[in-house]
Amino acid sequence: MRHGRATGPGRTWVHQTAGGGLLARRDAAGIAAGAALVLIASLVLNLTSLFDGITVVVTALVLVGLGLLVGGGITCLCQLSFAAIGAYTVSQLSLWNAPGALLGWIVAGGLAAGVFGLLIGLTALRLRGVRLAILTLAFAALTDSVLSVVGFPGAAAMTEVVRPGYLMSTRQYFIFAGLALVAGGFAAVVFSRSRTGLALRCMRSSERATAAIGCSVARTKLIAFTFAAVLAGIAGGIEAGQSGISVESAFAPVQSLSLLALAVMIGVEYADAAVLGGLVATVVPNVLGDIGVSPTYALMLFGAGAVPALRSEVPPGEQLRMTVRAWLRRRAGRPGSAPGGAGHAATPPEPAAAGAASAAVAGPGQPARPGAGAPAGQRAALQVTGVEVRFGAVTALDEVSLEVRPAELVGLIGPNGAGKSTLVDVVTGFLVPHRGSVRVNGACLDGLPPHRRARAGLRRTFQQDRVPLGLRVGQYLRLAAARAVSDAEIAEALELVGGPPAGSPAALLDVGSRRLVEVAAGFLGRPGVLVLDEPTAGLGADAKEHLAGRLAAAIPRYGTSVLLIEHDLDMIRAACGRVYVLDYGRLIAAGPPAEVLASDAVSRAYLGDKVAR
Amino acid sequence: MQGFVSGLGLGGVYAFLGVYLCTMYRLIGVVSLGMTAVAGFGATITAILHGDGWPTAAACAAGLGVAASASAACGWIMARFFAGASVDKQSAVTIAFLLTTLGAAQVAFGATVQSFPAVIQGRAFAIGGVTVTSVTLVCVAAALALAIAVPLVIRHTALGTRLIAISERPATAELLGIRTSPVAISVWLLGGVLVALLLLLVAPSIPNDSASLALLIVPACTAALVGALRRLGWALAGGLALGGVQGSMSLSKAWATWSEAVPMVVIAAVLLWNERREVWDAAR
Repeated sequence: MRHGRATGPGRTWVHQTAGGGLLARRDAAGIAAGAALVLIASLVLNLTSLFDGITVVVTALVLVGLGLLVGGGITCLCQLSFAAIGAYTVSQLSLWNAPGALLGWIVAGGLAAGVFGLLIGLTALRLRGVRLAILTLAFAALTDSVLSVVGFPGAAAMTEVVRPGYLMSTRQYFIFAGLALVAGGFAAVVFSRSRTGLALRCMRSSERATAAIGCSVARTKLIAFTFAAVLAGIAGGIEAGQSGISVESAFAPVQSLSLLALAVMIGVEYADAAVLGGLVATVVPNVLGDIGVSPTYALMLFGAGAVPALRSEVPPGEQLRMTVRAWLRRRAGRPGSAPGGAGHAATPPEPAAAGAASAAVAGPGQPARPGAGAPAGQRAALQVTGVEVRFGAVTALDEVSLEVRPAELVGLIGPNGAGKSTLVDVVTGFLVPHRGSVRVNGACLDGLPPHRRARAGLRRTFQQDRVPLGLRVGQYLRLAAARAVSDAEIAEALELVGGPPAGSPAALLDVGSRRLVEVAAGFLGRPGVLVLDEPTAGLGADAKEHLAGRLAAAIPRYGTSVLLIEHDLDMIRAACGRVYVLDYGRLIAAGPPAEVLASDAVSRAYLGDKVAR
Repeated sequence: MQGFVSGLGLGGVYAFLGVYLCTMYRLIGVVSLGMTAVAGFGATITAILHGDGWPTAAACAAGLGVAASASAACGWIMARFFAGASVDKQSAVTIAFLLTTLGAAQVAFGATVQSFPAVIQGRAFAIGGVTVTSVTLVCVAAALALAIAVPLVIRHTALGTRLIAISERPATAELLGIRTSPVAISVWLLGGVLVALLLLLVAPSIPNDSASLALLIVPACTAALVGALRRLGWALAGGLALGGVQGSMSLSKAWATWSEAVPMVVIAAVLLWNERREVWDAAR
């Protein structure tokens, strides 16, 4: 088994899954099969079908890019505007008889569209959801309006885009367009599999969680927008070469909306689904026309079809994939090996059977207390000094200092509103404090954004479950690891926390299982410090008890220190060597759990003055 | 100056639409991107029926009825299937409404401009050589009236109290016995009628094919975003200013082509300024 090669956390990543060599062969086989399909289609289809086929290919290429954005939870209503920019560039370069001929012009068209994609992507660093939808719709309307005034180059004089001799016939052009789609689709597959591609799908669930595993949200968005726009620009360029004279209506805003609706309806996060989308977008209007019905009914169908698709948490394309895979497995007679089968999905995770990894785990009733006796003079894994946060007149954190020593499990408790999560946000870079400093293994992290802190060895989980629903557990763990990890290592991490199998689709897991996946993801990154924010929320009492022991086992296994925020005081007693208590933003106690929890100050914080007395 | 004043007519339309978008956002938490498409569909029915010889009043009533029904249907779908969904999810559904309605309009009416009955026409008055048309006057007055009426209703009527309760704490409102769905659907229905009525007034003097009417949502959103989707007065001012600036540019040979770029520029500037601190997708 060959594994991926990382040049460093967050840098270029040659990503890999099981069986690296096999995967490379599978990719080659996929490309060969795609190319063969194109060639066979070019031989068996008649000229009219080939002409339509080029439209299918062009649409599919736009959808491949759009699918990436949709997979990242990004609403973009101007994908065909990028295509129009590609078509415009090709038309203009053809008119100028620029060097490079059609192939060079199409590449230039893709790059020109990419520049606009980058610009729209820059706005997406702050805009999301409906606001980004409005902005991209405005861009689509603007492009449409400008094109309707200035027209495509050469259109007024009816000067067609010049095609080279070897692309003159429709058949030749179909083969060229088809091969371009195979190349674009393969590029999208490689991108999807890359760290940036996985981070993009992770962003759909939570940008914060994406940053917390060391991925730059800004970089991911910019790359995704630029890549999607380049693909659309190339598609537009191919379209310009096919039609000779481009018309604005082919790139109208309504067509962009229609493609987005189709993308949502079919779920075109994958290249093969994009081809299906291209087929549907082209064939449905044609069929409607053939049976004497207005082709514009297709717009209604796509619009109406998107509504039920929007109700679904799991993209319909992924649902279809899961169904097909489950069926194939049943046919192959491997029901037990179905990763994430329904059997695990609906039930809380059973603690993993004792294995090599869990051999060191103490019994549930007697968990080890890692680091409880660590020498106080040792350099702290996490050092928080004098943190102060104010929200207007309210002081949320007041001169909070704490430290976690190497391989220590320290608790942080406090009543609701004490400032625990605010402190976690400060420590992990999501909130800038008015004063104070954070160091991990002696390195000062002040001023660093969350993803840089994560890369520096400071990881966290969130109070709410943030596992990306579009990924499988193994995919998410591989992304979170930010290093080359084997399947066995992933399985071991999951087993260590009592999590679900690596092949489980996250969307089918219950909340408790997803929390455990987050804990496993945190450890797998081998951070110096892991901050767990209420990891037992959603777990049953037994599972909580087991987790306490499993944390104790994971800490020496990964060399990670843990700061555990928890409401369950029994778990704190069982798992932690030391505990800090926050109340109204101030540290009111610190020390061994038994002493701290018995102190008057802590009783007053939890029960009030009268009861505590 | 004449260009600016001429643009105020369209500015009034933008302002009216922007104010209603803000109202919907405040009351039922949705940015209805399909609003003008749905209302435009109803208005176009009026044009078709009028062209078929129907009396103006009957044609208008039929068109408004269609707009009201279609808009209420959208509201019902939203209340029935997407209650409690995020603003972004609900607004994404309205994109599907936009597309479906636009598809229906192109099936029914084609992609051509229609001959709308001129309900209001002529010159209202002229000051210092600047002519103000009746349509301009009515559109600005309608936008102003809406921007004044909505806060009055919300602040000073029992209905307003219910609306605020529903918008801010829908679950609590339900526990108090207020049924949220009928109110939400009413907001949709009223929007359909009012916007269709406005489009009927201005359709004779603007590009009125179904796609153009649907895309009025872009300047409408521009106005609403100037008001940060909440402040009606700013949305009103934003819409009027946008129309005025576009009107001025349209009279300049050098700038006419780029007048359509103004909404995009304003949207980008306003949004990026307002959202400059929104580094993350969730507060925590």
